[in-house]
Amino acid sequence: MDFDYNDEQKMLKQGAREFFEKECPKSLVKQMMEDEKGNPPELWKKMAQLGWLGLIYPEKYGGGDGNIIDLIALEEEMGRACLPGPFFSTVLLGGLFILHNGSEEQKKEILPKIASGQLILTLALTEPSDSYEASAISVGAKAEKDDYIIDGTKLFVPDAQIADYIICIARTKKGTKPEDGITAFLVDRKSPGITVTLLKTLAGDKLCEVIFNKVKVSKKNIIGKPDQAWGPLQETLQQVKIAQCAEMVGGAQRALELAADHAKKRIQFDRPIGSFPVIHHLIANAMMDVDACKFLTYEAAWKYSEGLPCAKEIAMAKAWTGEAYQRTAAMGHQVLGGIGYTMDGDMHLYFRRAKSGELTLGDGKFHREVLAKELGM
Amino acid sequence: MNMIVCIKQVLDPEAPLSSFKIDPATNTMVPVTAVPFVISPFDEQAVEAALRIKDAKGGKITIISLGVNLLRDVVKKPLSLGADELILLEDPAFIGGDSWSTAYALAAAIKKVGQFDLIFCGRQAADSDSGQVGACIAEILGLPQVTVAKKVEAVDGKVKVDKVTTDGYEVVEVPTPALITVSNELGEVRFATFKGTMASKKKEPIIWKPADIGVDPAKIGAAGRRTKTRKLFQPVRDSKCEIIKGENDEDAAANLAKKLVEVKLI
Repeated sequence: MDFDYNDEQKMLKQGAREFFEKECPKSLVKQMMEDEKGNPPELWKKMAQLGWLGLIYPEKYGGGDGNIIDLIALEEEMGRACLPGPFFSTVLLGGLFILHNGSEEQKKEILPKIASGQLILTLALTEPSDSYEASAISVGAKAEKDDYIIDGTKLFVPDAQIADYIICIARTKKGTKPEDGITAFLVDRKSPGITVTLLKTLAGDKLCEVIFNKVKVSKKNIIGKPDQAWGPLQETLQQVKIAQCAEMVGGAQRALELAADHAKKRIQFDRPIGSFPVIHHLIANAMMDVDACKFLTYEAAWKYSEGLPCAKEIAMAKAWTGEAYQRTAAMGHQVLGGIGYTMDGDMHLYFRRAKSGELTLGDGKFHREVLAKELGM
Repeated sequence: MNMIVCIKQVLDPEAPLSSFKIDPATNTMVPVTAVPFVISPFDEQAVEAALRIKDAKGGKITIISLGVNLLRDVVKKPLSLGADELILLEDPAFIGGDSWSTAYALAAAIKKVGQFDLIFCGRQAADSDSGQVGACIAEILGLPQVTVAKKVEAVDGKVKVDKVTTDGYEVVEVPTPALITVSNELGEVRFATFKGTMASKKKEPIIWKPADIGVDPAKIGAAGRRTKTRKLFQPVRDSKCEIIKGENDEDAAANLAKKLVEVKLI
């Protein structure tokens, strides 16, 4: 079994690592945590020029015709670099949803602009209940002639404060099941009635409260079929979760490296602290955790790329990686000791992102339920 | 312009120092799995210099690399940036060489490539730092050479080179064919686009063995060495820190200045 990337994917990965080391130093990451927009324009432009923003889109929409394995190779390096900015919201959440469900006109209108760095997109899914269940969708959209009127509040919407468009997941009808009667709307963020408030978050990621107050949107702006968005949305989120796991893999790997390197260099009690068995065990545990994250993520990605059923694998990868990343970062703090506790150090960046990654798109408990259902429980 | 660039695969020189170990018995570096291989950074600069000329004047870039276990995802990188062809001198007979025996093999490969206008090399390899392979190739092939270039322009059958000196740079004109060694003062190297990276898949490397390039086995690799490594070691750095005190910042600064004069640093 060959679990490795191919030569071109390794080149992409190494090139991305070198690029982010130069263009996205940790000083920039820390600066962006405090910045309201959180998206350095020069960095975004350069990523577009390298073809990374359109990597996963077909060439006819300005993309690179890459596959999910190419994407996760890049995502690992983004996680390693703690890349700020709207790649997750724009390229993955919003862009992939349009790619899989949009009309030809919508794809031609939106995707090339994402690929060229000209458009920021996001998807508003969760609400104050912070649940990923269909039953939690209460933002309503009522049909009025050729339009819909959207009313309600979405919470934790990534990058809404800089988005040009927001894909709003709203309830248009009461169905027999909660999954029925949900529709996706492409909403211009400047539409009258939209209020966006940036929240202060643990990881400095830009999550927003978005209030839709009688926001009028044309029926032409429905993505996919009316009342039938939930299933397609879940399909898209499967791919997004794989990418997100890969980002966490990259972050966890780097946290492990930082801890191991420190353990080799830090001298206390007349010897490197890495010579103490307790440190050996901490590092070894983290190595096993990170390897498990990698292989669960790679398996999920490979199965997805082959068109094989992979709901179980994605649930395992998401549940494990979110928790393992946190364990690894916590281990990193322990090994780094005093310097690891400071904001000057970098370990806290990984610790914060580990928590954010765990919670986004469903935490470990959520995905354990998914696994249980897969097993028929 | 037909250009040839020689590149070397090395252990990443940016890896933490603690990663590198030396075997005192053989005077060689112990292979370290945790440290990735990369193209020697000055060689990347050499590739960039060639690409800039290709951007301006068109032409073809052939990359040549000598070694064993050459990782395709490392040595194919110039193809992803826009180089046209990759030739690998990959055979155990080539290893263990010094600058001269390496240059001899590379020169033979260059002769087999045929017509060329420019050869680019990095000013020195990031592992051995000998800085002699380029000069040796030029000597073997009877070419003019300009070393430590920070800028190279092709101009009507000649090249104009800004050559770094200790106190600035001098502008040198040299007729082609010529060999140029390139320094980091050339500036930033480009990153590969996604499409460029994927397109490199179609460019398979050409592998040449010693018999393919007509070299004398006694002159390549370890057999052809003209130098002997007597000792390879990591110097032990022992630093002492003296805190210069003063009643206030200005006083401390004055005391520091006096100390520096005292130890003849200023």
